[in-house]
Amino acid sequence: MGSLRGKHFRLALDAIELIGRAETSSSVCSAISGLTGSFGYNHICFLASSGRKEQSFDEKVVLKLWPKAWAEQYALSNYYAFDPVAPRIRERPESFTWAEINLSKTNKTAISIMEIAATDYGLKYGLCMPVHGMNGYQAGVSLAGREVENTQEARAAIELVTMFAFNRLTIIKSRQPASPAILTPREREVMNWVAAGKTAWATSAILKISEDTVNKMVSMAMQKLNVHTRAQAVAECIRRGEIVL
Amino acid sequence: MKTLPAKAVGELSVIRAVHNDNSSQFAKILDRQFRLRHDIFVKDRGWREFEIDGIYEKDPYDNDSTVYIIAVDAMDNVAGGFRLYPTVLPHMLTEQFPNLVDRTIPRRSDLLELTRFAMRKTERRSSYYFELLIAIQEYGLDEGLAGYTSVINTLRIPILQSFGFEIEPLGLPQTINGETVIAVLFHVNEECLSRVRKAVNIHTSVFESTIPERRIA
Repeated sequence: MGSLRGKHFRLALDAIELIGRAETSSSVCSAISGLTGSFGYNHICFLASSGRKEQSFDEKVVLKLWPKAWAEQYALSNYYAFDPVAPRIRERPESFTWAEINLSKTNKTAISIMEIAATDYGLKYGLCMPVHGMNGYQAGVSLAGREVENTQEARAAIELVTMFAFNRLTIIKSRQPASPAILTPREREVMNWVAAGKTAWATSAILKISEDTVNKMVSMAMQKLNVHTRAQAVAECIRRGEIVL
Repeated sequence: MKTLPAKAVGELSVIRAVHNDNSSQFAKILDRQFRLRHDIFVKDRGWREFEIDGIYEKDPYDNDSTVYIIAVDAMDNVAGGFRLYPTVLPHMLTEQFPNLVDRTIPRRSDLLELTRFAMRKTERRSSYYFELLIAIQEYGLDEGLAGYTSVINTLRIPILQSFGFEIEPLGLPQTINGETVIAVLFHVNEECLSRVRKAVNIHTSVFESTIPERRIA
């Protein structure tokens, strides 16, 4: 085996070993972001399908090391609806770089989303690893960076580790005692932004609902979770797996 | 090892282990298995280089040392199967795909190479498929195997893991003829078997009541 291939294989094996010993989803995420970071992909978004059809983007996110401002703009401008990356991760199991997405010249929105990501946020080069299981699309990892190692070997190493990470996350999740989901999808969305430190006003702008509605949802969530403060609500949401930071 | 109720002949389906010592007894299903391999690999997948006579698909690893694990119905129709070959002999990984392995290619008497996993198109998600998955573990445990080496399409890893398989990569994935492939080692142990049983909900033995003894290569 060539020396670059051997070197990257050993990096992958080290990450897989860490993943195999991981007891929490955050340790799995550290292991995979450690590996991808060593190839220059310092922004990572790990998405997992819960199987529910109408899911908003935030609900699907297992790990997000995305520039904060980009995440906000993404949500505010509803990029998820026009992002060419997301549907392709769902459709096919093969990995792809952003350069390999053939965007029709008429798809101006998609083109400008990719341009904004590159010029304003340093998300210049991207790589996506779908994970398709028994029943089709299960999860995907979207990676980006300003300067990345674009070799076949790096891509192969990331591909391999992504699969093992997803498998371990599934095992960890199945071992957790299932707390029944008690928040509605909308309430969960609101609590996600509260957890991110957003004010009610900012959250209302991001979600395009009134500030009053946001406050009502937070109160409802606090009632359902049986807590007295927003901080407690956030902690309880995380503990129950209603949201993931 | 706990013994499970075996299937009686005449039940809907059974897995058979066929090799040199019993091949005349099972000549019919062996014949059908080679024809199925021709349908799947030569016709469907277009492996023209394996066309010999238009009837069978066979290569140098079909010989006295080969074991065939075959899924059949009560009429001996073949639904699918796979092939096992001693790693202590020259095999696919040493002869055709040594570049897929990072360090030394595993060669042990308790490791077999698993190749030519094929299902009839109509049986792709059937109980035969699930029984073959169980057979991989059951046969391995019965024969005292530590595992199987295999070259597989990389994208099958998440699927097999969700069925409970413990997969060890032997090298990085590589693209060969437009397909991403990887050399792996499937571990055989009781935990794997019980995970697969749970995943496919089959809790009986998939083989007949007696499994023929494997010959040492």
